[in-house]
Amino acid sequence: MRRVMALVLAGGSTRDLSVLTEMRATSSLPFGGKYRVIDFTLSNLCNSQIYQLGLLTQHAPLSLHAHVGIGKPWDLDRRDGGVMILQPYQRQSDTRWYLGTADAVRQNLDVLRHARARWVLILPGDLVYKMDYSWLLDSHIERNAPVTLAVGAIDAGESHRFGICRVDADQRITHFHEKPIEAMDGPGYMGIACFNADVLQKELLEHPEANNLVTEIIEPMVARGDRVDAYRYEGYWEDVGTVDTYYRASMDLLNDTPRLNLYDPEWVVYTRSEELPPARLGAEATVERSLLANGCNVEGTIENSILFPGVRIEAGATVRHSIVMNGASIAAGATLSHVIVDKDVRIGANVLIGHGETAPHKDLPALFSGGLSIIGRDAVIPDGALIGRHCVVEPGVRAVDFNGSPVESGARVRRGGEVG
Amino acid sequence: MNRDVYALLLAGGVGSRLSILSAKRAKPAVPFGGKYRIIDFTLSNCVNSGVDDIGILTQYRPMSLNEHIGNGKAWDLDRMTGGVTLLQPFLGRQTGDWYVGTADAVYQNLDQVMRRKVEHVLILSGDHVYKMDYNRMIRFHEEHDADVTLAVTTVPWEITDQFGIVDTDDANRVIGFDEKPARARSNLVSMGVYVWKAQALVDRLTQDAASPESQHDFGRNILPLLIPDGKVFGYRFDEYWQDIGALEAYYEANLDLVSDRPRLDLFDPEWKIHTPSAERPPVKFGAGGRAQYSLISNGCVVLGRVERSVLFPGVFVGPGAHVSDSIIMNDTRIESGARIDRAILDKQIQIGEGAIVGQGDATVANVRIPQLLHSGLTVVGKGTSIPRGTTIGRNCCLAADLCETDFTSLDLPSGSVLGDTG
Repeated sequence: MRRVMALVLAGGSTRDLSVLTEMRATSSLPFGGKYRVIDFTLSNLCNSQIYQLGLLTQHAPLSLHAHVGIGKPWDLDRRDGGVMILQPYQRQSDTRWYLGTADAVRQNLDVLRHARARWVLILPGDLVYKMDYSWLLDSHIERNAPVTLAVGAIDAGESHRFGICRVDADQRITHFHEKPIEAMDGPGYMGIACFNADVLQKELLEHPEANNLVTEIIEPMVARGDRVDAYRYEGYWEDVGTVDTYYRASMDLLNDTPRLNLYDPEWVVYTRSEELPPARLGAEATVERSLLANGCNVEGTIENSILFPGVRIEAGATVRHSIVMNGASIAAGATLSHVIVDKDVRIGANVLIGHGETAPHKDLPALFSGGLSIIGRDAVIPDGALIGRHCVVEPGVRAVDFNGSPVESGARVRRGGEVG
Repeated sequence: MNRDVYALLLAGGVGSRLSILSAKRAKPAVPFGGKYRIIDFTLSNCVNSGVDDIGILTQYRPMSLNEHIGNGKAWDLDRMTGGVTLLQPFLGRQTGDWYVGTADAVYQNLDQVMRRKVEHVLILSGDHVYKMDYNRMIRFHEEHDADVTLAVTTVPWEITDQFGIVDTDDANRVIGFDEKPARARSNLVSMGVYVWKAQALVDRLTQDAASPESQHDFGRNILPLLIPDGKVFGYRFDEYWQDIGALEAYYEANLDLVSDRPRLDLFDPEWKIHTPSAERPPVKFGAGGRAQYSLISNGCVVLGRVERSVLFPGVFVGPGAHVSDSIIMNDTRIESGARIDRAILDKQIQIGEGAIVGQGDATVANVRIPQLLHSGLTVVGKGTSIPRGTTIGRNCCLAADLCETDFTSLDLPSGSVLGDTG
């Protein structure tokens, strides 16, 4: 077995996912009808036969900890290695939260030393993709590189979201520009890096002020002319860090041949599944172009939508172009179009979500497009409520918070009854 | 937690009335309800009742059962104390031999009972579908200070000849027992679920083992001898209970799950049925996919129409294909344009494009097993490939592992048998 240890950076959160990440880290966001985003990285690890990893957590880690547990679903409950949860902790001196990705790794250098790791694989926790890391590792070792970055193609017009690389004929990275404001050509850094452990340790200790691994360690290394190699990844990958990319990546799964194939027996994506009966479709159920997980009970109409385990859709309810997460229920006569419904939401009878004229979202207009609305976790939408487009209902909102009046497009319904 | 109980689950039966469904697996391992196997109901009842020390007696084709149960993880039975043990017959002890009857199977494992020093032994059958809290029955057993308590229920009069008929007095004391009578006096039957006082069990089975003319069967030989002592009681169970006997009952019990009000609620969070599930993606419905009145498991891809059917994990229904009133087991592929009606398709079957299974005269019974296949149901064995364009009638029985060259004709009339169906 190769002495490689993976560090999964799963502590981050983002405002760009609105209320979906208010109470959870991005990596524990539900995705694809039964998974969480972290499952893709953990499944890649076990499918690549890398069984030693540290999971760095910080922001709202409880759902992530409960999900990963001892790593059983991914065969990561190992006698040697396995999964270690690396949460910031207090020490006698120099106690602090993780101040950034570089700082998080620096605070855990002793873990790498104890594992006697020769190579360290840095992995983001918020990518959706299927990648065999052993190829990256092979390339890194064969080329005798100190650092190898995985780079992949990005969509036109998206360069401002990524670190853009220029790679020479010998697969060396000659320029690295993090999130350029003006559009740039070139492959994007996927956030996946393979370091020789001693190189990583040296860089982190020689630059104790560096908190961010990309802008304060990797980018300066390239700028200084240090050797940084590229490994080109040709497959599908998606950073689901914004409402828009999350929704698009989800909806892509409904295509006849989605870019991410979940049905490949050679590369199974594993997750922790609750024991639930098969999905039940009743007398008046109509389901088209949709994903349904076990435990769903459908009497209504579903089109172009994704239903997570245990969702209940009553007769006469219609759900289109929507994502409905675990345990949510939608009562008779409700109509939803372009809505992300978080877990355990209860939508009352004859509720209409996604109606009327489109108006930009009031707080974060750039985040919301295509009329998409989000209903936060555990919210209760009263019978007959009218909700426009580009709306946000905060987690835990109660029926009384609606004040009985329609929610116009672009508005946010707050806990405690303020609509604005 | 009930540390005073040891459960023995009888799971060795041949199940010949399930025809090719149990040709290569023990009856308790026959798939049921879209993702379970029959034994899951009894095992889940055990753990939901806090009975977590269980021996499973196997004999007939135990492989799929052994694999299914494994270390008992799915039921939280992978334990330091208790848990689940598979008890296959073995040689090397004085009386070691194949199990010749239900009582003999338990007798050969009496050392397991004695070693545990438990007060009660729960004897269960692995081929029933029901949800039952055994604790209530054990409490009843204790309250009546019974030597043995039988769970009893009523069944339709037409099928009383398949069961042991029980007579009880007003105090629930069993005063008569008649095993599979031609003409029954009552429709109250023994469910094959017993609570025994451990010492009574040891004594009676040791006695029975010494009797050369005994068939070593609980219903036939043990219970009738106990009744005169007045220490046998009947515990009434009035909820859903189904003995998966013959193909017809198996089919009806599955199809009942997709009715408007199923008699067995699989969605009850307070009484979950556990099973080891392979990791599969959610069900995918394509543009032409439609389903009504159906149970569909993870991993299925539905591009055609499905009605009143139960689909196990990983079933593929191609574009334009139509499945109705059927049970389709794991990873079976129904290619485009195929039509399946009133059929049970075992695992990993390939139905070629445009093939038809279940068409024609339902009144022509099966030529080999007319008593099992006479109501229009067609059954196909595991792994068989049906060539494109084939038409298969009703009441047909097709063996496992047939390949396309085994089909000498593309038209199999109703009542046909193809291949070695055992």
